[in-house]
Amino acid sequence: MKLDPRCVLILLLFYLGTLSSIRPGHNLLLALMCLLPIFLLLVSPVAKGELLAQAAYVLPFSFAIAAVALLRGNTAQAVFFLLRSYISILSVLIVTKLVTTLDLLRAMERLGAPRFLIVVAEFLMRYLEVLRAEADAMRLAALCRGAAHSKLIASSSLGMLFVRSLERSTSIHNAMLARGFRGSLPRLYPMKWEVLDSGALLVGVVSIGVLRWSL
Amino acid sequence: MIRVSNLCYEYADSGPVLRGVDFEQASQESVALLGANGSGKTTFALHLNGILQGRGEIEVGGIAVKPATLEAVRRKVGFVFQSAENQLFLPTVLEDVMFGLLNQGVAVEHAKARAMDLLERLHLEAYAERNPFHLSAGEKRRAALAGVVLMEPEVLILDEPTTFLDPPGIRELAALLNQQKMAKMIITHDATFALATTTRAVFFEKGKIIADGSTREIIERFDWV
Repeated sequence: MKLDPRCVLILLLFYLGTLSSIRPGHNLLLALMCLLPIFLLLVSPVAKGELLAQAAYVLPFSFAIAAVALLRGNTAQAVFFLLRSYISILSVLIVTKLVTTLDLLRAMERLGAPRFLIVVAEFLMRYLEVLRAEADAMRLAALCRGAAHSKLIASSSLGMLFVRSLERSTSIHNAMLARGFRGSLPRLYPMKWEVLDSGALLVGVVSIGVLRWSL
Repeated sequence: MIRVSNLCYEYADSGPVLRGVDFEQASQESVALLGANGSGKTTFALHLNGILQGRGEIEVGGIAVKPATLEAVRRKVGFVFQSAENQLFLPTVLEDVMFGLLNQGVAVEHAKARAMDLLERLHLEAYAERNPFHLSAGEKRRAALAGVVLMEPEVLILDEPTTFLDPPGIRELAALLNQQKMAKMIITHDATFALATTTRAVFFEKGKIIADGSTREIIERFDWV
């Protein structure tokens, strides 16, 4: 079953909005809301452990807010903040594993996000790839000449990395210009909203809504 | 087809690179640009579709190359860059090959049919839905070439097209280029490839064309083998 990326995006945003509207103290509601992404994680063909670990990256940031609650002596509230932010990130990560970033960007565009921002994001993805490739090439070259610590190489060569990446990015841009690029990438595959998408959206929104406002 | 007079250009950080280049090329003529690294060959070629804009006059297919005419000029001039990897930037080979046509306003279905037809002729049809980064060097080169040839330019410029290619790949590329009827300008250090694909050559030195003649004559004169 493959849903239209727009449907997935709307459901995700609705879920996140609902999650963020839960006030501290509504622990049962939060626990039930957590079940949704956990269920999705269990049934999806994704690397579960990896996603659970990646979602934990948000904890140091949300700890800043949780710390305020802790300082006030409200441990339950601190745990609530941490859990809510963790589960939010986990939901986003699951979606990014199930739908490609390119499809998500196209869905955003079809839902009205400014085209300019979408194109910038697409290029950012392309250029991040360039940056990574250049970093890998430099690391390999340094290792071949006996450098032992790749982290040291990375930090000392950061300036050079950006110069090389800029050069490659310019080449890519030139190649695009030479083939008539005028500021926006052509769209090849039109998205198709099926009855299944309408059904999934309805079931998802009603289920989350009922859960949120009945407890 | 191409007329260039007194073209001068200098990079901000490295001084003059072109010092008054005069050049003419007829329709369907194939010309090799030879010369040492840094002699100005690529800089010169980048002026022909307006990527670089120096002093002097350039005309391609009767259109003067200037900011207002770039769109029309780029329809006439196809440029295959030295690094095929930099030229392929879309998620699949098919999307990348179609890119130029779609920019010209060709309908998606029509562009797709033409792209698939060309990919078949280049024996790349099996890779249409593959990520271009996962192709071999020769396949990348052919995919990059396909993206440009599909636009049916009147002039095809290739910058060091044999880089990273093995001998069979070079022979295949030469055969492919010889099938193309448009004017061709090939920047190369590979004398054998130049002989196989061009009839005329110009020799660049320190930002100037210092010799112009048959490819064989120029290669022998400068001992460029």
